[in-house]
Amino acid sequence: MTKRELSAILAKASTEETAELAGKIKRECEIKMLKEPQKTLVMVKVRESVKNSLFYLGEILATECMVTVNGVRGMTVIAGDDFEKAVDAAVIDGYLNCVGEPKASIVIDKIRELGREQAEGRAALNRQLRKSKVNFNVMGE
Amino acid sequence: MAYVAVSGGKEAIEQSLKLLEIFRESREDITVSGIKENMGLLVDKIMSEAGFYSPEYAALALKQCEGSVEEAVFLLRAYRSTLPRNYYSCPADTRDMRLIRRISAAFKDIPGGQILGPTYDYSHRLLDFSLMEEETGEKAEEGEGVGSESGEDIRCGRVTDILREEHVLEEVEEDNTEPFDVTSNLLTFPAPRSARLQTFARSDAGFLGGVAYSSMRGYGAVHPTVSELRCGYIEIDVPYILDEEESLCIGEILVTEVEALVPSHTETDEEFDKMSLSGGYGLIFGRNENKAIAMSIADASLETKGDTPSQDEEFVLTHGDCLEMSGFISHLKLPHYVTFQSKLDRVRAKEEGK
Repeated sequence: MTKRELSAILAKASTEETAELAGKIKRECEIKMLKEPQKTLVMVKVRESVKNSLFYLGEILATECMVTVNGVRGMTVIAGDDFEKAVDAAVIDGYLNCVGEPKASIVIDKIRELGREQAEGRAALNRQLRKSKVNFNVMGE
Repeated sequence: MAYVAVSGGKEAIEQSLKLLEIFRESREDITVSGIKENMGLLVDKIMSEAGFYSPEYAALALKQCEGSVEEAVFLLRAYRSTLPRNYYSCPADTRDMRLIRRISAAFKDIPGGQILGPTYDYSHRLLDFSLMEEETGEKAEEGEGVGSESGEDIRCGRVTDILREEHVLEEVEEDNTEPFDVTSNLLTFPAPRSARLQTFARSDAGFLGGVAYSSMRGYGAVHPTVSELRCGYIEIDVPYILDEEESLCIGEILVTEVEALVPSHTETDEEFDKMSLSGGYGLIFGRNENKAIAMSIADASLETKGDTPSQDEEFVLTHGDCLEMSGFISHLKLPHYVTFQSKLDRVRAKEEGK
């Protein structure tokens, strides 16, 4: 699982869910703050599809944070202003950078499971959306 | 008459600010999360015109200023100016959008189908008085017959892919020119395409709608066909600074995107035989379909030549910013005692000279 895939799940997780994932790591590892959580802007660069060029759509409010877990760096940039969640996500990142298998797999499996729960949470709405798909009846056929 | 520096009004101003608080007070308070959840389209409009994506802060701004759009945009722009911008995202590709709505006015049958999603287009515009009694938590239940539908996220290819496969629309090579940033640089003309699109994305929806409407009514040359309108969530990635081969997803944002198709102008048989298609592009924060369509028309209109307002790049790009326009109009409320007095003196002198 790539950093991108892991962070996508953590970004959609609640404060409580990231706290639960980071809780054991915080209890068992030495955590040092390298960069306190702080708000930052992320300028969104997009590729438009007509001329295939790039432009800036606008900025997103985000929170960044960097820690060390047992001396190994971990960081996060996460949309919103949830400092607690940003610290926990950075701790999880640092832990995954710090430990090898099989410890990393335990955390990754939990995040993967969280991703499955998130997908299930969206399923009800997706079913409703699909129900609004148009079935055309062509006159005369 | 010389300029005279005056002061005063400090107490009156303080009382005016206090009165704002008094007028903002209500018997029934509304929470920031309540605004965010119940006024989603208004929150989206504020974020779009502020060029700043934060549903919570947009809702807070609306609460603070009694729902005034221009004041809320002002508050967000002012706040945004206090924050560092430490990241630029990797180029986001809207092709991967997690869709909640997707339609085409150009083709009936499109891969993935036409998904109406949430839209007011087919609603009866009748006041629903039952909402007067609506209780918190009374929401629509999952409808009948949805059980057989897939719960997978909805993602579809673009409608214009069909036209590109037929070579009706040309394949365009990737242009990786770094975008111009209108928030950090002075706009000069002719403006790069990236500056145009960024300016439109931040424009006042009403202004952009007016520009597009004028073009379609004949004060311009663009009356397009909406090839595709899609609304949904795109994930935003930033480089992972601890390993340049990795990236981080910071979350997802709700956007509306429009691709419009514009046939070339034809009057003669020869022009008709050479008819070609070009495109206009619209992409904005949040759900606002008319603004996204208007943006695509304004974009296409600036590609045409003519003397109408919608074809005048400088006019279109310098008069649509919500903050700038409301600020300039608002400045007329400031004292103009000296300038007006000098004009008055001139009129009086003319009258006396009669």
